[in-house]
Amino acid sequence: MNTAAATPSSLRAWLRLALDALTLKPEPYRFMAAEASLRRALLVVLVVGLLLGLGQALVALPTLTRSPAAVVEAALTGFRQGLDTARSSMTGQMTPEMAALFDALDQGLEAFRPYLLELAAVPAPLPSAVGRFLAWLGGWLSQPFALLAKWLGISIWILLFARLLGGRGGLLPYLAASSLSVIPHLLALFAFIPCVGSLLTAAGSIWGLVIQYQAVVITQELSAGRAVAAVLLPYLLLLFLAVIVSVIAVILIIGLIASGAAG
Amino acid sequence: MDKKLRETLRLVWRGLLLEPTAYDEAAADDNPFVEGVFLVVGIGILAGLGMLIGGLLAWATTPDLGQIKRILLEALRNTAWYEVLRADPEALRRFEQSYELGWRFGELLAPSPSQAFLMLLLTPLRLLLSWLWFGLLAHFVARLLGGNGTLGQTMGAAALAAAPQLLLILGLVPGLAVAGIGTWTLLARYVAVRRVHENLSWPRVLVAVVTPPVLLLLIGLIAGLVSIPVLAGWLGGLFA
Repeated sequence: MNTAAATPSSLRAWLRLALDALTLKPEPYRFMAAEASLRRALLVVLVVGLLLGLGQALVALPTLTRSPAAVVEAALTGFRQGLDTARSSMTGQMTPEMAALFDALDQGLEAFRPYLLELAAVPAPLPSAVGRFLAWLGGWLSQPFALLAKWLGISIWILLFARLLGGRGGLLPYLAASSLSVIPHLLALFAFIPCVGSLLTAAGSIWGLVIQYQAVVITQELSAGRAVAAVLLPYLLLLFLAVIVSVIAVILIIGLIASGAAG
Repeated sequence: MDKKLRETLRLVWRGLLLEPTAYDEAAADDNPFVEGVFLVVGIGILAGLGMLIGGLLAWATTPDLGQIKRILLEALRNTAWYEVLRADPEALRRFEQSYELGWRFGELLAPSPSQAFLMLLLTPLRLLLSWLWFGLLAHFVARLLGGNGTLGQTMGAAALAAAPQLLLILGLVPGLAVAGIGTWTLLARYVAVRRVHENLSWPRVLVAVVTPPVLLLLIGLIAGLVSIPVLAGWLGGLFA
């Protein structure tokens, strides 16, 4: 497919473009960078964000039909099950103090139950189902914006470092090409799978960085080494700042403890 | 739809997509100040309308805070901890004061119709002040660094850079967090200044673009530091 020729008009053409981008073929990057607009880039971010949000929205779908009282009961049951699991896992190691703590938590839960149910029944001007639907919709539609913020936030720093390292490309071509880096984040759809899910999410993030690297190479005409540096430097800078802040915080805490001890 | 209005909406859309030619057109307007005011206020009103609807919906779906406050207090009064508190009248008085104060703050932050209507008024005003602050300062810094654009051109292009704020209209769905608008606006402003002061190198354009928000942040920090003792005195007075 000659991706640089025309805008993909079918879903199949867009899927092919995404696949080519994921396998780091240069054509999709050149195609995206060729347009002096963020139109295609925003389309990519919007679709990926909506798909990502759809996974979570579908999981949350049953909560739409559940009454607030049922939600409270489910939460209480979950909490009690957690307490029972903790209790049974500590058989043989349970001290009288810990047993008393577990009993207090159990009794406290039972004492608060009627109040929690009363809180769940507090009326609002509109039926509670409307509120639940709006919260569900808001949660889903927030996903594209969260992805947009993440993509723009990191891309401007990568571009800044790329330019400082001698990059010559413009802002728009780079932003348009780097929007393809959001596609591997679709792996986060499998985040619900225990253990494997978090690995897939991490793999998606790393793959996104590789795509950022390819966007820098193609749009900024940088060597491989400099492009790697441009992509990694924002993260290293962040790490450096985090270390500095932590060191300052530790020094302040030690100083406070020392002055307290002296006083 | 009126042809002029359609053209303006198309220009805003292209500005949102950071199309450089859109910023050239906005800068080349024969009356960029007046056009800028209309553009920024128009974007602000549309965004404010979205936020008004969202605010009203948020209020209409929020349970009665007065009842929540009463139920929580009743629940607390039935705990062993409250019995201990009851034995010390001074501690009880302090707790009741803090509880009242906490709810008073909560009620201030909770959605209400008056707050929703206030957003309709404040959003255009905020955008207008932000445009003037950014446009005037960025132009001053750009000229200081050798830029060749005129003030009118900078103000015209900077007005179009408010286009990403139009997305605040999506605030009509309560709970929808429209993130990334600040960064998007910053990028739009970069494109605007770059197109107007086209003789400036990119680092100089960057300096001109980040100076106004950095300066605002510094002023905010200083104002915050100055107001801390005043606020502490006021809160202390409330607890006394």
